[in-house]
Amino acid sequence: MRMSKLTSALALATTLAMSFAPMATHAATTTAFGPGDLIKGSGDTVYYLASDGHRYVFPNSKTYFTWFKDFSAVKTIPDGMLSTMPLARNNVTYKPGVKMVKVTTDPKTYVVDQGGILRHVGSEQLAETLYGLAWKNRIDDIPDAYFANYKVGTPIQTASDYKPADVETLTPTIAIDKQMDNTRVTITIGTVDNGFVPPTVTIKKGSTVTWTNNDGTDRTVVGGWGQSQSLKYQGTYEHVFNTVGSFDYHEAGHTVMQGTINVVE
Amino acid sequence: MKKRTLFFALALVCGLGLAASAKALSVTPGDLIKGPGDTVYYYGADGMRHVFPNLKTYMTWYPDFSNVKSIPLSELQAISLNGKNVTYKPGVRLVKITTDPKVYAVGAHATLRWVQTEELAVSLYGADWNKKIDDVADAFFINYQVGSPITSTADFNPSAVSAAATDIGTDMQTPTVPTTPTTPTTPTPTSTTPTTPTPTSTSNVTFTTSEITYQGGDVVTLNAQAQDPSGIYKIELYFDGQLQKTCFSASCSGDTLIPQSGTKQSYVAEARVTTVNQQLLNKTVTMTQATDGSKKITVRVGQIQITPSMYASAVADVDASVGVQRIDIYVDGNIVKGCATGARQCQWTDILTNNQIGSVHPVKATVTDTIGRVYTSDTTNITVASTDAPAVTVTPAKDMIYTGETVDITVSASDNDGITSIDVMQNGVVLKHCVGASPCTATTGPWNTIGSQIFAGRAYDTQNTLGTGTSTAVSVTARP
Repeated sequence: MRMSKLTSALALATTLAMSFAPMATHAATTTAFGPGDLIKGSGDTVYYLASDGHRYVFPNSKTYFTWFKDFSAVKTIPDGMLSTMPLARNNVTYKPGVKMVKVTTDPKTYVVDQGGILRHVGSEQLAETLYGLAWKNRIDDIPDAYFANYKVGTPIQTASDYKPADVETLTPTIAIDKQMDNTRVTITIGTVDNGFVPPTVTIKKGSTVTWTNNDGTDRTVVGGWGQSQSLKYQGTYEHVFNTVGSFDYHEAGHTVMQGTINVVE
Repeated sequence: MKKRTLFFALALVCGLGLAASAKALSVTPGDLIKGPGDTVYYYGADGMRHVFPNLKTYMTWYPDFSNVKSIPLSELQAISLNGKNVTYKPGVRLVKITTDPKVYAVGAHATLRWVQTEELAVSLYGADWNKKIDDVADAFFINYQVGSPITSTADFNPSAVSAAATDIGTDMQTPTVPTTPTTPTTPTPTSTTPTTPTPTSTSNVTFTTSEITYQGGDVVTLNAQAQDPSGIYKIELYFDGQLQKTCFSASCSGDTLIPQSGTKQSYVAEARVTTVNQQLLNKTVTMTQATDGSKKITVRVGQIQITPSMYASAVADVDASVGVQRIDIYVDGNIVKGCATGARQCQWTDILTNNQIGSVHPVKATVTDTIGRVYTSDTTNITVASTDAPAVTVTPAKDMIYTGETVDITVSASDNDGITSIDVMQNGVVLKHCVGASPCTATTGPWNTIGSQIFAGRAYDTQNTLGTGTSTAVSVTARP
């Protein structure tokens, strides 16, 4: 029956995002994490935490394995802290250069360029030049529903337009792929229990820290350098740290909510 | 694991490239289509197919699959896949993102609006509201945008929002211009009070430059922020038609150097924004050449009111940003002193040639920089009167303080008749009144607001003539 078939196919697509589990699922939780880390809660989904304070989803395990060879670097953090940090407006995409991709129901084969840009490879000869005789083994299928993670750019005309090894070398991290500004770090303010997330952040001198209130209660950040106004839901406060040192801060009404900014050269 | 392998095996690695050129003639925009596989697509007015990411999304729009058209694979492949997935029909269900504890209502154009309290959820969706929540997988969060939270029942009317969302195509469209809110065309029978229109999120570009008048050699910071329901793909900053910076984010800031020997009277700075759904938005700022050099050179006169027998005096100071070739001081439009030593200061003292009582003498100064550009200061007047006004100076102990600190302000005055009183002033208010000629010092603050505090001073001489000093600013900055 048509309906039941569709049900199962759709259900499968949904679970894909969640279906890959790190090996160490019972690792102790830690609150020592920060921008650039791979994080997970008690569930199985692994996220990339970027300096903008957002969690980036790996839509499936194939995407994850273009960036990392195993789950050894994944940190397990308290669920409350995980859910305090907002999800990003885009997901992690394939590491540029590693694989070619195609969409399930689209015959075009694409290479992946920086920033999740897909570029159509116009001929088999071109694919062979780029990825060798076994180029067919270097193509992954992206489910239709995850095509939304990518943007289509200009097609590859000649082999000189795109050198897989160079593109991969130029994009060593997700932060670079997403063009993150590492001199700007965002900390999310949650409930009294979850506090400031991440609680400790290390930044370079001259960096800007932005606090964003993701809780329904108004919050005020108080540090030795000054304090914010009362921040409503989605309200933000910025401070530039120009001196090296360790700076503690807390929330005005709830001193149990504490955080530290470590400023290094 | 087996299941996933099967799923991927289903999708054959087709040969590269040449998409069938046959146009799918049998489908029209708004149709639901499927190929040999099981996935159902919405065929949009853009001529592209849009994925229903899951069954629940489909069911918010249609009760069954009776209207889905099956088309051959070649036809399906000929229709490009659009990255914009179909989202929940507004108003129908509440949603929750797997790892976000907030419960959201779905507004127009896939806007998630946080329902802040349980009471609100009950009044919007009934006592069984918690049975109307669907989980949206983290990976599909990107199909939605987060709007403002719902804080009262007037913020959101599920049935009106749902009734207004007549078809997927309209709901998928991103409003390109700020639409004036209109009341829903279908009045809701249950609500007696007029429904508040749901604010729809629209595209918006903010573009500012650090200066709107410039002088050659200035460094101007261009600052752009953009928002769009589809997301921002990139912002490009242009100055005088030249690309200065490209940012792949929703905010972009870059510096540009204004040409030293520019002959242009104005320059255009522009922010060009490309949204994720390929819309182009832009905003321009026209910068005009500054006609005055008041930021580059200032002139102070010794006393603004003098008697016929007194010397008049003036001092010109040039800002450190100017490479000085020469400074000229003008009185009544004539050069009275030229300083060609390259120093930043030039002083003049003389008896005025026309010193009739009541005459007014404008004083200004110009600086010529090392490449020949000339900046002119503001003009200050010297008035000749039967009695002279006291010369008053206002001196803060510090130019800059941190929040929470106090600052001492000293006002001193001199006059050939003798001083009877001195006041320290702020915004026309006397902070301290001192009798006699000794300098008057007031401790002010503590100042807690970041910004500038402006202080002034005044003095009366024995003839009861008022003299005022140039006001001076103390900047209050946050503690490092």
